[in-house]
Amino acid sequence: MSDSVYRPRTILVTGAATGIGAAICRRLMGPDTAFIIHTRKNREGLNNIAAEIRAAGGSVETALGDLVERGLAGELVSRAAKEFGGLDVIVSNAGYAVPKGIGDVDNEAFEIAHQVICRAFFEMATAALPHLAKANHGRVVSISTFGPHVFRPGMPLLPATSAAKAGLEALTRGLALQLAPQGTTANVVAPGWILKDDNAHVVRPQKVRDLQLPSIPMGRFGSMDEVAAVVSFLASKDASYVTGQVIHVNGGLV
Amino acid sequence: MSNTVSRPRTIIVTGAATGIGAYTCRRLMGEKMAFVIHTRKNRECLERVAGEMRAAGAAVETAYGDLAELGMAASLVERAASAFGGLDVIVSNAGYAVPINIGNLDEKTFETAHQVICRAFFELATSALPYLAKADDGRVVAVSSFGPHLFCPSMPLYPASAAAKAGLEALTRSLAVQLAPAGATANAVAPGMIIKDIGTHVARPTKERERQLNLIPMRRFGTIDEVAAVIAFLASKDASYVTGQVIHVNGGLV
Repeated sequence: MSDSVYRPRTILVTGAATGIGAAICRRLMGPDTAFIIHTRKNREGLNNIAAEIRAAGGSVETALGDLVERGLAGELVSRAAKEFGGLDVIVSNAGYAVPKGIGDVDNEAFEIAHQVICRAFFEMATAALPHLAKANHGRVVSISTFGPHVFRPGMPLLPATSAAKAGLEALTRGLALQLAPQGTTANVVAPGWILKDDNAHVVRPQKVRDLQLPSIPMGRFGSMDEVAAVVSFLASKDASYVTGQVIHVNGGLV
Repeated sequence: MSNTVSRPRTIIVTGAATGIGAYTCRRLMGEKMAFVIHTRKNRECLERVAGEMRAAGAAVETAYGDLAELGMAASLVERAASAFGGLDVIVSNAGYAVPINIGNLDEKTFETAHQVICRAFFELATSALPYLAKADDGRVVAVSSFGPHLFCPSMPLYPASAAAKAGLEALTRSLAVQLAPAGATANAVAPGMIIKDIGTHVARPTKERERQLNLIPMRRFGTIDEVAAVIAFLASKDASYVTGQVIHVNGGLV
């Protein structure tokens, strides 16, 4: 469905201040784009990305807040609609890593992971549904992880995070079915072991991560930009018949 | 590993005369590119594709022959090496659609599907291995189908093709692990129900295909170019950390 009035391609990215979220913004930014970028509290990091987006010719609004809180995810959507007249692309990237096995994870941490990763996406999808239905080439990309796919001795276990991400993947695939008649797609990108920048939230110390190298067929960690490249393709008009998929960016990790 | 002598990015595409193969050529063609394009016997269409590619600045060799024959696949690799000095990308697209159920399917037909789809890829991969290991950004993309993934009463059954494609996917994933240390990737693309262009072998009568529409969440068949877009992405330098995957391009068909 085409719009009678011109508006920029409007993109919402959560967890955008550093790491994969910031790399995604860098891949998607350009003239005729408008962004709502979100992070929990890293104002400086978010402002830096906002400046890059503006320098590339895009419009940008920044939003700070904890996705645990009801209403924030919905507010990001209404902000896009209010500022830019619609919403075309959602990249749900904000995560919450709980690197503890069952027995050590308390109920509160378990619930926070669920709230931030799974319930917040549910809220965002619910609020965005009417906008995505009207979008030209609407796209939803949620960022999962290898966690819900690789369970074996020697791999770190993040059961709370993995359960929440598994829920995120199922929600995304369900959303794909709902959006499909309008031509909007919804897919998941599941990164493997990725090298983060110095400012990004790093779950595992490097020496722990290095132990994982032998299990990666490519024998190296991925870069954030290699994940962003796949997200950017899925968010593009070219990826118009790919929907309901989980795409692994993991150097062959199985 | 970098090359001391500059040579073009060299690409083999099998089944390139029409359909997904031809559109993949159109997506990939350009200057500083060299191609060996193959079809069984459709000379008119293959030469037309070659003409388009040369007009876009690419060097092109055309090759004719039946991939069921021992040595044909390897000859494509030798042709690339002798004409262009190496090989960087393989798009194994040639197929053999057999819409005949078990009971009516004879062994000769069953074996032909295996030979053309699965064994020919084995031969192609075996002879290409040393070149792909030396390639900068080496890429293998095998074109599979929804056949080996979808078995339900209202879907057409292609048991011979599905078995051969299942084998093709397994070979591709194994190849991915073998190539990974060299930085080359190998992935499969599994198209859903796609509208073929005129001149392509259409396996299903149009009326029968109409009945399948209701099974596709997007409520439409895919276009050839939508499949080619995903193949082109996987063949690009950008897709450097995606390997060993089967990527479905199917409008959400599950």
